[in-house]
Amino acid sequence: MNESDSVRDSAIAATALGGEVPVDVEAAYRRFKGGPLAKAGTPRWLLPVAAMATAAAFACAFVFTPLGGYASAFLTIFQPREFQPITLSTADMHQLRLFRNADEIGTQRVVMKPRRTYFSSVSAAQKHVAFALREPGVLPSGFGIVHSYFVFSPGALSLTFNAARAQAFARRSHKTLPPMPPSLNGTTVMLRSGDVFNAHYETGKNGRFFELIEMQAPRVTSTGASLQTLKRYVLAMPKISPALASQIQALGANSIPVPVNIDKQHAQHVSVDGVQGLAIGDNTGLGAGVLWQKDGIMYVVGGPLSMTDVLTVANGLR
Amino acid sequence: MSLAQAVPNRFEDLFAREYPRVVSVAYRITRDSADAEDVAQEVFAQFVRMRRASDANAPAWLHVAAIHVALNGLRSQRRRRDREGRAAQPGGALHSTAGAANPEQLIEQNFDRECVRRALVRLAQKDAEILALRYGGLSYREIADAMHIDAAQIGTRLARAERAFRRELEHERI
Repeated sequence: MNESDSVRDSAIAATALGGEVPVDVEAAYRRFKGGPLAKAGTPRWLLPVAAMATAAAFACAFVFTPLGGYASAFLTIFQPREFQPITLSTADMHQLRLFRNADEIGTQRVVMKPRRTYFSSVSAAQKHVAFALREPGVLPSGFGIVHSYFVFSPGALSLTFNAARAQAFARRSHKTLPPMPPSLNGTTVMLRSGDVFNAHYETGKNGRFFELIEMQAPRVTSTGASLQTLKRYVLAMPKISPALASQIQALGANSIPVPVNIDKQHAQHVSVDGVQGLAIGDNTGLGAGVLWQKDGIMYVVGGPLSMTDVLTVANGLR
Repeated sequence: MSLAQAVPNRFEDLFAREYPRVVSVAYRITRDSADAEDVAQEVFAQFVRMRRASDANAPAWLHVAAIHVALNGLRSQRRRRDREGRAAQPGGALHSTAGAANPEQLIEQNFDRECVRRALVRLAQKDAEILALRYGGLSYREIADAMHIDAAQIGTRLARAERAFRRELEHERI
Protein backbone atom coordinates (compact mmCIF):
# COMPACT_ATOMS: atom_id res chain seq x y z
CA MET A 1 0.00 0.00 0.00
CA ASN A 2 1.41 3.37 -0.92
CA GLU A 3 1.16 6.62 0.99
CA SER A 4 -1.65 8.05 -1.11
CA ASP A 5 -3.78 4.97 -0.37
CA SER A 6 -3.18 5.52 3.33
CA VAL A 7 -4.11 9.19 3.07
CA ARG A 8 -7.25 8.28 1.17
CA ASP A 9 -8.21 5.65 3.78
CA SER A 10 -7.74 8.19 6.56
CA ALA A 11 -9.80 10.78 4.74
CA ILE A 12 -12.65 8.35 4.18
CA ALA A 13 -12.59 7.26 7.79
CA ALA A 14 -12.51 10.86 8.98
CA THR A 15 -15.50 11.74 6.82
CA ALA A 16 -17.51 8.71 7.86
CA LEU A 17 -16.57 8.65 11.53
CA GLY A 18 -15.92 12.30 12.37
CA GLY A 19 -18.24 14.92 13.75
CA GLU A 20 -18.87 16.69 17.03
CA VAL A 21 -21.46 15.60 19.57
CA PRO A 22 -22.71 18.33 21.88
CA VAL A 23 -23.30 17.00 25.39
CA ASP A 24 -25.04 18.58 28.38
CA VAL A 25 -23.20 16.83 31.18
CA GLU A 26 -25.34 18.23 33.98
CA ALA A 27 -28.53 17.08 32.29
CA ALA A 28 -26.92 13.71 31.61
CA TYR A 29 -25.95 13.36 35.26
CA ARG A 30 -29.48 14.23 36.41
CA ARG A 31 -30.82 11.62 34.01
CA PHE A 32 -28.33 9.08 35.29
CA LYS A 33 -29.08 9.65 38.97
CA GLY A 34 -32.80 9.77 38.42
CA GLY A 35 -33.11 6.95 35.95
CA PRO A 36 -33.57 3.27 36.44
CA LEU A 37 -30.15 2.34 35.13
CA ALA A 38 -28.32 3.71 38.15
CA LYS A 39 -30.73 2.11 40.57
CA ALA A 40 -31.46 -1.26 39.05
CA GLY A 41 -29.36 -4.31 39.11
CA THR A 42 -27.32 -3.90 42.26
CA PRO A 43 -25.63 -7.26 42.25
CA ARG A 44 -26.37 -9.48 45.16
CA TRP A 45 -22.70 -9.95 45.88
CA LEU A 46 -22.55 -6.31 46.88
CA LEU A 47 -24.60 -7.12 49.94
CA PRO A 48 -21.92 -8.97 51.86
CA VAL A 49 -19.36 -6.52 50.57
CA ALA A 50 -21.50 -3.77 51.99
CA ALA A 51 -21.69 -5.68 55.21
CA MET A 52 -17.92 -5.90 55.23
CA ALA A 53 -17.59 -2.22 54.66
CA THR A 54 -20.06 -1.56 57.41
CA ALA A 55 -18.08 -3.72 59.73
CA ALA A 56 -14.76 -2.26 58.77
CA ALA A 57 -16.07 1.22 59.39
CA PHE A 58 -18.64 0.07 61.88
CA ALA A 59 -18.22 3.06 64.08
CA CYS A 60 -19.11 5.39 61.23
CA ALA A 61 -22.24 3.43 60.48
CA PHE A 62 -23.21 2.78 64.04
CA VAL A 63 -21.69 5.18 66.49
CA PHE A 64 -23.43 8.34 65.44
CA THR A 65 -26.93 7.15 66.02
CA PRO A 66 -28.76 6.62 69.28
CA LEU A 67 -28.00 2.98 68.80
CA GLY A 68 -24.45 3.91 68.05
CA GLY A 69 -24.33 6.04 71.14
CA TYR A 70 -24.62 2.82 72.96
CA ALA A 71 -21.89 1.29 70.86
CA SER A 72 -19.67 4.29 71.45
CA ALA A 73 -19.78 4.06 75.18
CA PHE A 74 -19.51 0.34 74.85
CA LEU A 75 -16.19 0.80 73.17
CA THR A 76 -14.82 3.22 75.70
CA ILE A 77 -14.57 0.61 78.37
CA PHE A 78 -13.00 -2.30 76.54
CA GLN A 79 -10.71 -3.27 73.71
CA PRO A 80 -12.77 -5.05 71.03
CA ARG A 81 -11.44 -8.48 70.19
CA GLU A 82 -14.16 -10.19 68.20
CA PHE A 83 -17.05 -9.51 65.87
CA GLN A 84 -20.56 -10.40 66.94
CA PRO A 85 -23.43 -10.40 64.43
CA ILE A 86 -26.62 -8.56 65.25
CA THR A 87 -29.24 -10.09 63.03
CA LEU A 88 -31.80 -7.68 61.69
CA SER A 89 -34.74 -8.17 59.39
CA THR A 90 -35.26 -5.87 56.43
CA ALA A 91 -38.03 -4.24 58.47
CA ASP A 92 -35.58 -3.65 61.34
CA MET A 93 -33.15 -2.08 58.90
CA HIS A 94 -35.84 0.30 57.70
CA GLN A 95 -36.74 1.26 61.25
CA LEU A 96 -33.12 1.97 62.16
CA ARG A 97 -32.84 4.32 59.21
CA LEU A 98 -35.25 6.56 61.07
CA PHE A 99 -32.40 7.41 63.40
CA ARG A 100 -29.59 7.56 60.91
CA ASN A 101 -29.21 11.30 60.95
CA ALA A 102 -27.21 12.10 64.06
CA ASP A 103 -28.00 15.79 63.71
CA GLU A 104 -31.49 14.95 64.91
CA ILE A 105 -30.27 14.26 68.42
CA GLY A 106 -27.11 16.29 68.63
CA THR A 107 -24.34 17.98 66.75
CA GLN A 108 -21.87 15.99 64.75
CA ARG A 109 -18.57 17.28 63.44
CA VAL A 110 -15.87 15.90 61.24
CA VAL A 111 -12.91 16.68 63.46
CA MET A 112 -10.35 15.17 61.12
CA LYS A 113 -11.25 13.96 57.63
CA PRO A 114 -9.43 10.83 56.49
CA ARG A 115 -7.53 11.28 53.24
CA ARG A 116 -7.32 8.49 50.71
CA THR A 117 -4.07 8.01 48.84
CA TYR A 118 -3.28 5.59 46.07
CA PHE A 119 -0.07 3.55 45.99
CA SER A 120 1.24 1.31 43.30
CA SER A 121 2.69 -1.29 45.65
CA VAL A 122 2.36 -2.62 49.18
CA SER A 123 5.93 -1.60 49.95
CA ALA A 124 5.12 1.99 48.99
CA ALA A 125 1.95 1.94 51.09
CA GLN A 126 3.82 0.45 54.04
CA LYS A 127 5.82 3.66 54.48
CA HIS A 128 2.59 5.47 55.30
CA VAL A 129 1.02 2.93 57.67
CA ALA A 130 1.92 2.53 61.34
CA PHE A 131 1.51 -1.24 61.44
CA ALA A 132 2.96 -4.14 59.48
CA LEU A 133 0.92 -4.80 56.34
CA ARG A 134 0.14 -8.33 55.26
CA GLU A 135 -0.55 -9.63 51.76
CA PRO A 136 -2.35 -12.71 50.48
CA GLY A 137 0.02 -15.62 50.02
CA VAL A 138 -2.54 -17.30 47.79
CA LEU A 139 -4.87 -15.67 45.28
CA PRO A 140 -7.97 -17.30 43.80
CA SER A 141 -7.71 -18.55 40.24
CA GLY A 142 -7.60 -15.74 37.69
CA PHE A 143 -6.44 -13.06 40.11
CA GLY A 144 -3.00 -11.56 40.21
CA ILE A 145 -2.98 -9.14 37.31
CA VAL A 146 -4.51 -5.93 38.61
CA HIS A 147 -3.88 -4.67 42.13
CA SER A 148 -4.65 -1.27 43.62
CA TYR A 149 -3.58 -0.13 47.06
CA PHE A 150 -5.02 2.69 49.12
CA VAL A 151 -4.20 4.12 52.52
CA PHE A 152 -6.68 6.17 54.52
CA SER A 153 -5.09 8.54 56.98
CA PRO A 154 -6.45 8.73 60.55
CA GLY A 155 -9.76 10.50 61.05
CA ALA A 156 -12.01 11.67 63.85
CA LEU A 157 -15.74 12.31 64.16
CA SER A 158 -17.62 13.62 67.16
CA LEU A 159 -21.23 13.75 68.27
CA THR A 160 -22.44 15.94 71.11
CA PHE A 161 -25.85 14.88 72.39
CA ASN A 162 -28.40 17.66 72.65
CA ALA A 163 -31.71 17.11 74.43
CA ALA A 164 -33.35 20.23 72.98
CA ARG A 165 -32.48 19.18 69.46
CA ALA A 166 -33.87 15.69 70.07
CA GLN A 167 -37.11 17.15 71.40
CA ALA A 168 -37.42 19.47 68.42
CA PHE A 169 -36.92 16.53 66.08
CA ALA A 170 -39.59 14.55 67.94
CA ARG A 171 -42.09 17.42 67.59
CA ARG A 172 -41.23 18.00 63.94
CA SER A 173 -41.49 14.36 62.95
CA HIS A 174 -44.38 13.46 65.25
CA LYS A 175 -42.28 10.75 66.90
CA THR A 176 -42.15 9.84 70.54
CA LEU A 177 -38.60 9.74 71.76
CA PRO A 178 -37.54 8.86 75.28
CA PRO A 179 -36.35 11.79 77.38
CA MET A 180 -32.61 12.22 77.11
CA PRO A 181 -30.98 11.54 80.51
CA PRO A 182 -29.42 14.69 81.99
CA SER A 183 -25.99 13.07 82.12
CA LEU A 184 -26.19 12.30 78.40
CA ASN A 185 -27.22 15.79 77.40
CA GLY A 186 -24.02 17.58 76.44
CA THR A 187 -21.91 14.44 76.36
CA THR A 188 -19.51 14.26 73.42
CA VAL A 189 -18.50 10.92 72.01
CA MET A 190 -15.60 10.88 69.62
CA LEU A 191 -14.52 8.19 67.19
CA ARG A 192 -10.88 8.17 66.20
CA SER A 193 -9.88 5.86 63.39
CA GLY A 194 -6.25 4.95 62.76
CA ASP A 195 -4.51 4.05 59.54
CA VAL A 196 -6.59 1.96 57.16
CA PHE A 197 -5.06 -0.06 54.32
CA ASN A 198 -7.24 -1.27 51.45
CA ALA A 199 -5.95 -3.61 48.75
CA HIS A 200 -8.17 -4.16 45.71
CA TYR A 201 -7.55 -7.24 43.58
CA GLU A 202 -9.23 -7.98 40.29
CA THR A 203 -8.92 -10.33 37.38
CA GLY A 204 -8.95 -7.58 34.78
CA LYS A 205 -11.96 -9.19 33.14
CA ASN A 206 -15.44 -10.37 34.08
CA GLY A 207 -15.63 -7.72 36.79
CA ARG A 208 -14.37 -10.16 39.44
CA PHE A 209 -12.61 -8.59 42.37
CA PHE A 210 -12.14 -8.79 46.09
CA GLU A 211 -11.07 -6.40 48.81
CA LEU A 212 -8.62 -6.77 51.67
CA ILE A 213 -8.90 -4.21 54.47
CA GLU A 214 -6.44 -3.93 57.34
CA MET A 215 -6.99 -1.28 59.98
CA GLN A 216 -6.06 -0.28 63.46
CA ALA A 217 -8.99 -0.80 65.80
CA PRO A 218 -10.82 2.51 66.21
CA ARG A 219 -11.05 4.15 69.60
CA VAL A 220 -14.14 5.81 70.97
CA THR A 221 -14.14 8.16 73.93
CA SER A 222 -16.98 9.69 75.89
CA THR A 223 -16.86 12.88 77.92
CA GLY A 224 -19.66 12.00 80.27
CA ALA A 225 -22.43 9.48 80.03
CA SER A 226 -21.83 5.97 81.25
CA LEU A 227 -22.43 2.85 79.28
CA GLN A 228 -25.52 2.03 81.28
CA THR A 229 -27.01 5.45 80.64
CA LEU A 230 -26.48 5.16 76.91
CA LYS A 231 -27.79 1.64 76.93
CA ARG A 232 -31.02 2.61 78.62
CA TYR A 233 -31.52 5.51 76.25
CA VAL A 234 -31.00 3.39 73.16
CA LEU A 235 -33.21 0.55 74.30
CA ALA A 236 -35.99 3.00 75.12
CA MET A 237 -36.09 4.20 71.53
CA PRO A 238 -39.29 3.40 69.62
CA LYS A 239 -39.16 0.84 66.86
CA ILE A 240 -36.37 -1.13 68.55
CA SER A 241 -37.77 -4.62 68.25
CA PRO A 242 -37.60 -6.94 71.28
CA ALA A 243 -35.39 -9.29 69.30
CA LEU A 244 -32.91 -6.52 68.54
CA ALA A 245 -33.01 -5.28 72.11
CA SER A 246 -32.21 -8.71 73.45
CA GLN A 247 -29.28 -9.05 71.08
CA ILE A 248 -27.88 -5.71 72.21
CA GLN A 249 -28.31 -6.77 75.82
CA ALA A 250 -26.46 -10.01 75.14
CA LEU A 251 -23.45 -8.51 73.40
CA GLY A 252 -20.22 -9.64 74.96
CA ALA A 253 -17.90 -7.13 76.59
CA ASN A 254 -15.25 -7.66 73.90
CA SER A 255 -17.55 -7.82 70.90
CA ILE A 256 -17.95 -5.45 68.00
CA PRO A 257 -21.55 -5.50 66.78
CA VAL A 258 -21.93 -6.21 63.07
CA PRO A 259 -25.42 -5.70 61.61
CA VAL A 260 -26.49 -8.60 59.37
CA ASN A 261 -29.71 -8.55 57.35
CA ILE A 262 -31.11 -12.02 57.90
CA ASP A 263 -33.35 -11.70 54.85
CA LYS A 264 -30.34 -11.46 52.56
CA GLN A 265 -27.30 -12.70 54.43
CA HIS A 266 -26.16 -15.30 56.87
CA ALA A 267 -23.36 -15.13 59.40
CA GLN A 268 -21.39 -17.66 61.38
CA HIS A 269 -18.27 -17.73 63.50
CA VAL A 270 -15.30 -19.38 61.83
CA SER A 271 -11.69 -20.09 62.66
CA VAL A 272 -9.50 -17.84 60.53
CA ASP A 273 -5.87 -16.79 60.73
CA GLY A 274 -5.58 -18.63 64.05
CA VAL A 275 -8.37 -16.72 65.76
CA GLN A 276 -12.15 -16.61 65.74
CA GLY A 277 -13.68 -14.52 62.97
CA LEU A 278 -17.09 -13.81 61.57
CA ALA A 279 -18.01 -15.05 58.09
CA ILE A 280 -20.90 -13.39 56.26
CA GLY A 281 -22.36 -14.80 53.06
CA ASP A 282 -24.93 -13.60 50.60
CA ASN A 283 -27.88 -15.99 50.57
CA THR A 284 -27.47 -16.43 46.80
CA GLY A 285 -23.93 -17.70 47.29
CA LEU A 286 -22.53 -15.03 44.96
CA GLY A 287 -20.52 -13.16 47.54
CA ALA A 288 -18.84 -13.68 50.87
CA GLY A 289 -16.62 -12.00 53.40
CA VAL A 290 -14.84 -12.66 56.65
CA LEU A 291 -13.83 -10.31 59.46
CA TRP A 292 -11.42 -10.92 62.27
CA GLN A 293 -9.06 -9.18 64.63
CA LYS A 294 -5.55 -10.22 65.46
CA ASP A 295 -2.82 -8.46 67.41
CA GLY A 296 -4.80 -5.24 67.53
CA ILE A 297 -5.41 -5.10 63.77
CA MET A 298 -8.82 -5.65 62.22
CA TYR A 299 -8.95 -7.53 58.92
CA VAL A 300 -11.68 -7.86 56.31
CA VAL A 301 -11.59 -9.98 53.14
CA GLY A 302 -14.66 -9.90 50.93
CA GLY A 303 -16.04 -9.75 47.44
CA PRO A 304 -17.97 -11.69 44.81
CA LEU A 305 -16.16 -14.91 45.68
CA SER A 306 -17.09 -18.21 47.23
CA MET A 307 -16.67 -18.53 50.98
CA THR A 308 -13.97 -21.11 50.31
CA ASP A 309 -11.95 -18.63 48.26
CA VAL A 310 -12.43 -15.89 50.85
CA LEU A 311 -11.21 -18.12 53.67
CA THR A 312 -8.28 -19.33 51.58
CA VAL A 313 -7.16 -15.74 51.05
CA ALA A 314 -7.75 -14.85 54.70
CA ASN A 315 -5.84 -17.85 56.03
CA GLY A 316 -2.99 -17.22 53.61
CA LEU A 317 -2.13 -13.69 54.70
CA ARG A 318 1.57 -13.29 55.40
CA MET B 1 6.86 13.59 42.25
CA SER B 2 5.74 11.89 45.43
CA LEU B 3 5.07 8.21 45.52
CA ALA B 4 1.68 9.06 46.84
CA GLN B 5 -0.76 10.18 44.21
CA ALA B 6 -4.11 11.51 45.25
CA VAL B 7 -6.82 9.73 43.34
CA PRO B 8 -10.15 11.41 42.67
CA ASN B 9 -12.65 9.31 44.53
CA ARG B 10 -15.90 10.94 43.59
CA PHE B 11 -17.99 9.37 40.92
CA GLU B 12 -19.36 12.76 39.95
CA ASP B 13 -15.89 13.95 39.02
CA LEU B 14 -15.34 10.92 36.83
CA PHE B 15 -18.74 11.36 35.22
CA ALA B 16 -18.16 15.03 34.46
CA ARG B 17 -14.75 14.33 32.97
CA GLU B 18 -15.47 11.19 30.99
CA TYR B 19 -19.13 11.31 30.00
CA PRO B 20 -18.57 13.55 26.96
CA ARG B 21 -15.72 11.34 25.80
CA VAL B 22 -17.76 8.17 26.28
CA VAL B 23 -20.58 9.73 24.25
CA SER B 24 -18.08 10.78 21.60
CA VAL B 25 -16.61 7.29 21.32
CA ALA B 26 -20.05 5.68 21.17
CA TYR B 27 -21.18 8.18 18.53
CA ARG B 28 -18.51 6.89 16.12
CA ILE B 29 -20.46 3.65 16.05
CA THR B 30 -24.08 4.66 16.55
CA ARG B 31 -23.87 7.75 14.30
CA ASP B 32 -26.80 9.06 16.31
CA SER B 33 -26.28 11.40 19.26
CA ALA B 34 -29.33 10.18 21.20
CA ASP B 35 -28.27 6.56 20.77
CA ALA B 36 -24.74 7.51 21.83
CA GLU B 37 -26.09 9.09 25.02
CA ASP B 38 -28.13 5.96 25.72
CA VAL B 39 -24.95 3.92 25.35
CA ALA B 40 -23.08 6.23 27.73
CA GLN B 41 -25.83 5.97 30.33
CA GLU B 42 -25.70 2.19 30.11
CA VAL B 43 -21.92 2.17 30.35
CA PHE B 44 -21.88 4.28 33.51
CA ALA B 45 -24.61 2.12 35.01
CA GLN B 46 -22.44 -0.93 34.38
CA PHE B 47 -19.49 0.93 35.82
CA VAL B 48 -21.10 1.66 39.18
CA ARG B 49 -22.07 -1.98 39.49
CA MET B 50 -18.62 -3.31 38.68
CA ARG B 51 -15.94 -0.75 39.32
CA ARG B 52 -14.86 2.12 41.50
CA ALA B 53 -14.34 5.68 40.41
CA SER B 54 -10.90 5.63 41.98
CA ASP B 55 -9.66 2.84 39.73
CA ALA B 56 -6.65 4.11 37.83
CA ASN B 57 -7.87 2.51 34.63
CA ALA B 58 -11.49 3.66 34.98
CA PRO B 59 -11.40 5.94 31.89
CA ALA B 60 -9.93 3.18 29.74
CA TRP B 61 -12.58 0.78 30.97
CA LEU B 62 -15.35 3.25 30.15
CA HIS B 63 -14.05 3.92 26.64
CA VAL B 64 -13.81 0.26 25.71
CA ALA B 65 -17.14 -0.54 27.35
CA ALA B 66 -18.77 2.18 25.24
CA ILE B 67 -17.59 0.46 22.09
CA HIS B 68 -18.77 -2.95 23.20
CA VAL B 69 -22.19 -1.69 24.26
CA ALA B 70 -22.60 0.30 21.04
CA LEU B 71 -21.55 -2.59 18.81
CA ASN B 72 -23.73 -5.03 20.73
CA GLY B 73 -26.62 -2.64 20.25
CA LEU B 74 -26.06 -2.55 16.51
CA ARG B 75 -25.78 -6.32 16.33
CA SER B 76 -28.98 -6.84 18.28
CA GLN B 77 -30.76 -4.32 16.03
CA ARG B 78 -29.51 -6.24 13.03
CA ARG B 79 -30.68 -9.56 14.43
CA ARG B 80 -34.07 -8.06 15.21
CA ARG B 81 -34.37 -6.75 11.68
CA ASP B 82 -33.33 -10.12 10.33
CA ARG B 83 -36.09 -11.73 12.33
CA GLU B 84 -38.54 -9.17 11.04
CA GLY B 85 -37.41 -9.67 7.45
CA ARG B 86 -36.16 -6.14 6.98
CA ALA B 87 -32.46 -6.78 7.12
CA ALA B 88 -31.32 -6.21 3.61
CA GLN B 89 -32.29 -2.60 3.14
CA PRO B 90 -30.03 -0.05 4.73
CA GLY B 91 -31.73 2.84 6.43
CA GLY B 92 -34.98 1.11 7.25
CA ALA B 93 -36.19 3.92 9.48
CA LEU B 94 -35.40 7.53 8.74
CA HIS B 95 -33.73 9.58 11.42
CA SER B 96 -33.97 13.30 11.30
CA THR B 97 -30.47 14.54 10.74
CA ALA B 98 -29.14 18.00 11.36
CA GLY B 99 -28.16 19.60 8.09
CA ALA B 100 -30.51 17.60 5.89
CA ALA B 101 -32.07 20.17 3.60
CA ASN B 102 -34.68 17.97 1.90
CA PRO B 103 -36.11 14.45 1.99
CA GLU B 104 -33.67 13.19 -0.62
CA GLN B 105 -30.76 14.46 1.43
CA LEU B 106 -32.25 12.91 4.56
CA ILE B 107 -32.55 9.56 2.85
CA GLU B 108 -28.98 9.80 1.64
CA GLN B 109 -27.66 10.67 5.07
CA ASN B 110 -29.54 7.80 6.67
CA PHE B 111 -28.23 5.48 4.00
CA ASP B 112 -24.67 6.65 4.70
CA ARG B 113 -25.12 6.21 8.43
CA GLU B 114 -26.46 2.72 8.03
CA CYS B 115 -23.59 1.83 5.72
CA VAL B 116 -21.09 3.06 8.31
CA ARG B 117 -22.78 1.09 11.04
CA ARG B 118 -22.83 -2.08 9.00
CA ALA B 119 -19.23 -1.64 7.97
CA LEU B 120 -18.17 -1.25 11.61
CA VAL B 121 -20.11 -4.34 12.64
CA ARG B 122 -18.38 -6.35 9.92
CA LEU B 123 -14.93 -5.21 10.96
CA ALA B 124 -12.72 -7.17 13.31
CA GLN B 125 -13.46 -6.05 16.87
CA LYS B 126 -10.01 -4.56 17.40
CA ASP B 127 -10.25 -2.55 14.19
CA ALA B 128 -13.62 -1.13 15.20
CA GLU B 129 -12.22 -0.31 18.64
CA ILE B 130 -9.22 1.61 17.44
CA LEU B 131 -11.29 3.58 14.92
CA ALA B 132 -13.92 4.54 17.48
CA LEU B 133 -11.30 5.51 20.04
CA ARG B 134 -9.24 7.57 17.62
CA TYR B 135 -12.10 9.38 15.92
CA GLY B 136 -13.78 9.72 19.29
CA GLY B 137 -10.96 12.05 20.21
CA LEU B 138 -8.59 9.94 22.28
CA SER B 139 -4.84 10.34 22.10
CA TYR B 140 -2.51 7.54 21.06
CA ARG B 141 -1.53 7.14 24.71
CA GLU B 142 -5.15 6.80 25.80
CA ILE B 143 -5.87 4.35 23.01
CA ALA B 144 -2.87 2.29 24.06
CA ASP B 145 -4.13 2.21 27.65
CA ALA B 146 -7.63 1.22 26.59
CA MET B 147 -6.51 -1.51 24.20
CA HIS B 148 -3.56 -2.73 26.29
CA ILE B 149 -1.12 -2.34 23.44
CA ASP B 150 2.11 -0.43 22.94
CA ALA B 151 1.56 3.18 21.91
CA ALA B 152 4.20 2.74 19.21
CA GLN B 153 1.90 0.26 17.45
CA ILE B 154 -1.08 2.58 17.27
CA GLY B 155 -0.15 4.24 13.99
CA THR B 156 0.28 0.96 12.14
CA ARG B 157 -2.84 -0.58 13.60
CA LEU B 158 -4.89 2.51 12.88
CA ALA B 159 -3.80 2.55 9.24
CA ARG B 160 -4.70 -1.11 8.92
CA ALA B 161 -8.10 -0.50 10.49
CA GLU B 162 -8.78 2.48 8.22
CA ARG B 163 -7.97 0.38 5.18
CA ALA B 164 -10.26 -2.44 6.32
CA PHE B 165 -12.98 0.07 7.09
CA ARG B 166 -12.72 1.67 3.67
CA ARG B 167 -13.08 -1.74 2.01
CA GLU B 168 -16.10 -2.65 4.11
CA LEU B 169 -17.67 0.72 3.42
CA GLU B 170 -17.17 0.30 -0.31
CA HIS B 171 -18.72 -3.14 -0.06
CA GLU B 172 -21.75 -1.74 1.76
CA ARG B 173 -22.27 1.01 -0.79
CA ILE B 174 -22.20 -1.26 -3.83
